[in-house]
Amino acid sequence: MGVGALAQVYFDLDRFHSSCEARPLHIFSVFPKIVIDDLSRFAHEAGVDAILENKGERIHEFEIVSARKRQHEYGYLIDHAKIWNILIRTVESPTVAGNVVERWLERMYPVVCRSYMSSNDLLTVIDDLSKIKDSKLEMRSYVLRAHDSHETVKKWKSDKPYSRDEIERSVKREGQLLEAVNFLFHVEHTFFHTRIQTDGHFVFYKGGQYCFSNFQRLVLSKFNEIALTNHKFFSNRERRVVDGKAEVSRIILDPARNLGKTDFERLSSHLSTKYSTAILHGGNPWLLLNLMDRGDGSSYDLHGYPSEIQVIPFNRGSPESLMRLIYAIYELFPLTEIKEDT
Amino acid sequence: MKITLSLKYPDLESVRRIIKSEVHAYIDAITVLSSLQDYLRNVGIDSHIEKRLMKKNGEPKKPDLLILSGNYIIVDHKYTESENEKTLISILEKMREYDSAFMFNNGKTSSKEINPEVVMLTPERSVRHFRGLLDCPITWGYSLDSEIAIKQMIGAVKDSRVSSLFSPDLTCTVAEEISKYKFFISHPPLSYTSCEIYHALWTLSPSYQFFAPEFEVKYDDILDVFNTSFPPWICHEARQLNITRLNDALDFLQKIGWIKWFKAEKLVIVYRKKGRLIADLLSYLIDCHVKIEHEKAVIRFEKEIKKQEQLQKPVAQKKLADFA
Repeated sequence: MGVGALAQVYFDLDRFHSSCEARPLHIFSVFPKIVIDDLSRFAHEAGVDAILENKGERIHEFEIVSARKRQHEYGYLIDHAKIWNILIRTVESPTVAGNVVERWLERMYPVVCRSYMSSNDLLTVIDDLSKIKDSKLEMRSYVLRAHDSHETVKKWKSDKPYSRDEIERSVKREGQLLEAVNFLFHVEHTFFHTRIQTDGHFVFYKGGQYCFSNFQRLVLSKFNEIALTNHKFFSNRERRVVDGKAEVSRIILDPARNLGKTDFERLSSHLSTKYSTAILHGGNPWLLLNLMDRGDGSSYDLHGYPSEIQVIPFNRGSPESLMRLIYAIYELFPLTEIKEDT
Repeated sequence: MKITLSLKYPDLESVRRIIKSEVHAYIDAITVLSSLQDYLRNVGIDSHIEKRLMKKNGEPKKPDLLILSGNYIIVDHKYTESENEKTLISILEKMREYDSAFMFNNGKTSSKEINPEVVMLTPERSVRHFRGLLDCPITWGYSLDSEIAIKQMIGAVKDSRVSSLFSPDLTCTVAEEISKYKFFISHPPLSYTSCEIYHALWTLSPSYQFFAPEFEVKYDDILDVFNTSFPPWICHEARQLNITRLNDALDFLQKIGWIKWFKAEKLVIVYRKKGRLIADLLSYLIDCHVKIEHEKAVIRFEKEIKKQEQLQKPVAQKKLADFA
C-alpha cells in the first residue's frame, strides 16, 4: 500500500459500507502494553494467535485466531502508538465476529486492554456530535445492563430528539450501567449508523458517502481522545517511598447514593470474580479490601464508605488495570463519578 | 501463635476462633491507632506509636500509643472476644505493667521522668466484660464504622485537653496511613502477613512475562517492598525482625503450594494458577493456618497422651514388684 495506506483503507471502508453489500464492522479501542512487533509472540503465549502484515503508515492487516475453536477473524489494526484501533470485518455472523474478538481480548489482557469509560464519557461523545452545525442525531436505542443480568434494550421513538437528561434519568431509575448507544448521524448530506459502547467496542453498520471517514473523524477519534485523557489521569498512581516515607495517590469515587452493608457485600463479591481479593474489614458499613490484578500484578486497597469509595494503588498500579477496576465499580454503581484526587 | 494444650482433644473451632481474633485484633490496632494519631496531630497534640519507654526500674515497655498532652497518656490496645474471667484478668494484669514511672526521651532533651495516665483501648462490645472487674484501668471503647468512634467508657482521663475531645465520643476518619503501611512492630498474625506478602509478590512479577505459568521474584526485592510496608518510626535495626516475618510467610505460602522458595538461591517462584478461584484470600489463608495449627495441636496432644501413659505404666509395675 505504501504512502496513503490509511486513507486507502478508509476509502475502501467508505465505499463498502455505503454499498448494499455492507456488513457490520466491529471496532475496538484498546491500550497496548507492548510494541506492535511483539503482538504475535504474546498472542501465541496467551494461547491465541495474531497475524499481522504491515501495510505502511500505522496500519496492519490483521488476523486473529481464537483459543478453543480456532475461529479466524480478519481486519486491520491501526496503531496510534498509545492507543490501537482494531477493525474486524464480518464474514459470517456479526454477533459471532464481535464475540470472538471480545474473547480474544479477554485472553490477551494485560497485553492489550479495552478502553473502558463511564456512561458520562460516552454521552459526552454523543453530546459533541449533537452540537455539530447542520447535523441530525437520530437515536435508535440504548442499552442498560445490570452486572449480574442480561442487557435491557430501550427503544427510542424515531421522531424524538436525543436527550441526555432522559437517558440519565433512565440510568438512575433502573440503577443499571449505560452500556451502549445506537444511533444514526446525518451530516454534510450523508450519514452513518453505529453503536458505541462504554467498553470500547463499536459496531459500524452502514452509511452514505464518506460514512466511515466521518465516523472515524467525529466519533472514533473523540472516543480515543477521552480514553487517552482517562489513561493519563490513571497513570503514575503507584505508592512511592520518598525519604523513607510512603506517599499514596487516592482515587475518590462518588457513588451518587449512600451505600450500605448489602452494597459492600455485592461489591466484594463482584470484584472477587475479577481480582484476587482479601476482605480486611467487611463493610459494617466501612469496607476495606485488598485487591490484586492477576493480569499485570497491580495491587490496591479499596475503602468503601457510605458516601464514597476510595481506591489506593500499592506499589504497582497500571492505568489499564485501574481503568478496568473503576469500570467494574461502574458496573455495580453506574452513576459513580470520580470526585477528586489528592 | 501457639494453641495452649489441654488434655481435651484439640477443637478445630477454638483454634479458628483464636486465629481469626488475632487477625481482627491486628487490623483493628493498625486502623484505630494510626487514625487516632492522625486525628491528634490535626488537633495539635503529639503522640507516638510503639515508642520505647524505660520503666524507672529499667525495664523497657513499648505501649501502643503515647499521647503527649499536658499530661502523658499511655494507650494500649487490647482486643478480646472472650468473656472468660481468667482471660480478662490476665489482660488487666498486662495493663497493670504500665502503672509505673517511666523515663521519656523525645530525642531533643535528656530523659525525664513521667508518670503517665494509663488507658486501655478495646472494642466497645468488649467493654461490658471488663466492667465490674477489680483494678480495671480507664477504658476507651471504640467502634469501627464509617468513622471511628471512641468513648470513655470506664473512668476518664484527667488531662483536660484530651478529655475535652470526647463529647461524648471522639470521632475520627480512617487515616490514609493504613494504606501506606501494613505493619507495626508488634507481631502480625501469620495469615495477615502471608496475605500482604502474596499480593506484594505479584506486584514484583516481571513486566513482560504475562502468560507464563509461573514467575520468579528475587528474595531481596520482596524484602525491599516488605520493609517499606512498615511505618517510618520503625528504625532500620528492625530489619532483622522483618526477615523472620517474611521467611515465616514464605514458608507458609510454600506449605500451601502457592510458591516455591529456593532459600540458597534467594529466589521465589510464584505459580500463577494457584488460588485463582478464592473469593476471600484472607479467610482462605486463615483457614489454612487453622488447619496447620490444629494438626500441630493434635500431634502435641497425642504426644502428651503417650507421655502420660508411659508415666503411669512403670509406676504400676513397680507396685506389683513390691508385692512380689
